[in-house]
Amino acid sequence: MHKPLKCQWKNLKNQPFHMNNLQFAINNKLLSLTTERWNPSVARLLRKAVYCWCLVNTLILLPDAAEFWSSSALTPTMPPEVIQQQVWSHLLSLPQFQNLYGYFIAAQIVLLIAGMACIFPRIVSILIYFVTINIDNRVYVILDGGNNLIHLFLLYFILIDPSKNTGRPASNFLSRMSNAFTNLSLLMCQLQVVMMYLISGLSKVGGELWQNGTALYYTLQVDEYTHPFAKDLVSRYPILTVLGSYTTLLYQVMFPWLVWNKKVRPWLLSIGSCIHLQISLVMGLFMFGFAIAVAYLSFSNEKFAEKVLRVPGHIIRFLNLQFLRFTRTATSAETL
Amino acid sequence: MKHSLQLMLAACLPLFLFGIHTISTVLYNIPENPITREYMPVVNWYMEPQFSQNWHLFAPEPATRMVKLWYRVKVNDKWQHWQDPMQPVLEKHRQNRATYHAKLLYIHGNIAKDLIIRQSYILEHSSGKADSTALQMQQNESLKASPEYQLAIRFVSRDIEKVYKHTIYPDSLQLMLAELYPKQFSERLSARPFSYAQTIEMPMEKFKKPALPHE
Repeated sequence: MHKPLKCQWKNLKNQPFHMNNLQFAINNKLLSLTTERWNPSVARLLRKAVYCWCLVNTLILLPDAAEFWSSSALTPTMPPEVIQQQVWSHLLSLPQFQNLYGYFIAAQIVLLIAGMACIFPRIVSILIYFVTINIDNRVYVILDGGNNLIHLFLLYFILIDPSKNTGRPASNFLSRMSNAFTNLSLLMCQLQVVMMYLISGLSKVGGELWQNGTALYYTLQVDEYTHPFAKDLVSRYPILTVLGSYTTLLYQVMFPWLVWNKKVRPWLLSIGSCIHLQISLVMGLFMFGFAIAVAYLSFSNEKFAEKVLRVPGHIIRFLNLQFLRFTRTATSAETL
Repeated sequence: MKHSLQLMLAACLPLFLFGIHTISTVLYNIPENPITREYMPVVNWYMEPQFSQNWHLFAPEPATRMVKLWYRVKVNDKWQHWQDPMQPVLEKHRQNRATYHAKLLYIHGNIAKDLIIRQSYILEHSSGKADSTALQMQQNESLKASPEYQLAIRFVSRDIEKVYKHTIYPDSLQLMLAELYPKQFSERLSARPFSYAQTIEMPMEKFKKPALPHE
């Protein structure tokens, strides 16, 4: 039922403009919004990748958790007036809950694993958001743009149905609404990435250091965002500074327009991944770079997402096979 | 009829909600203009705190100064060298990016930044004393009483415990804030470490063994 709808929409684009055609196209698109899920595998892949990012982010901080969340930590809490505005998301900032951070972290880890396995997806996504926002609000001073983007994605995931069942008969009102919210939430994730680049790019255009191509040099002179090797390199070779600054600027300004072109998209995302890998490894904003790379998955196509989603299954099957071989060899050695 | 009404509602309600959300997100993020000025109270009410976002990543200009918190201690009536408590963490962060040290640097850096903001605020807002010594004493007292200074002392005291490993307890302690500006691009190959540095020495005080907040 769904395939012909898309075909009709595609055919319609080639026909001369007519009011009836337009009305038909809109009706078709509305029908497709509620009766099918546009990119079910992409939604599943994005959800799993974001939860995986959250898990890694927490595990990285875990060895020194007391330094971040305990009552003796050096992290300041939010001002009381901010906490009072929304107590449910600042529980770990309240003195009576401060030392319960271990339970919150344990709950987050369990929920993230459940989320990746798609167990009770809607309820689990609500709980993940609740626990994550409480954990992060306690240490608001360590949050960056990557955390900000991931928080927004976690909110949109509440509306996404990641179940494999894409061919469900959307006959009842609720399943139609569910399809519409799933489709629009995924679109919103994409728009959020576009908004990030648009605002960041436009703000940079007005900056003097970005205009004269020395922004990268100055960024890499700050101890927290550099590596001695990179600092030395940009000082010796000005061309690297100028190329790096202009590439970043151009990329951010062009991304919002070019990302919608399906032919250019893979190239654009590959360049972006390289830029963000540099941000992770050279500038040291490790999780920020990976957060953006994860967000790029919202632009991937169905085929790619399906392939990636099959990878864990292949690995498990391979490991099972190796284990079986090993046990068989061990048993035969024992028999001999 | 009922079927098509259901279809319209199932499509139009989510579309309407997402339309409102998208417009709010755009208005929240774009630079100030006549439209945002008019609708900002409503947009802020809707967007904050759940959908709050800030995408000025290294924009309009990247960070061009470093604020450091240094300290020195007096042991056996002799002042020791100034020390940077962030340096060991910074070294570890440079060796391996995939650790919590990056985030520890945020916390430690934030202590110095908050303290310099508080110090400037006190300097700007303290008045009423004609005598400069009295004015300076008043400023010192205000600074020492501030939560930012207390936090800085806690941070430094922990570092002292690590450095001296409970063997020696210093008599006195002094903090210093250093604002370091990197070399200008034109002088990038020169031997000098910074183009400009400004330091603010805090008042000296007796060293107290650090106590936990609940003690």
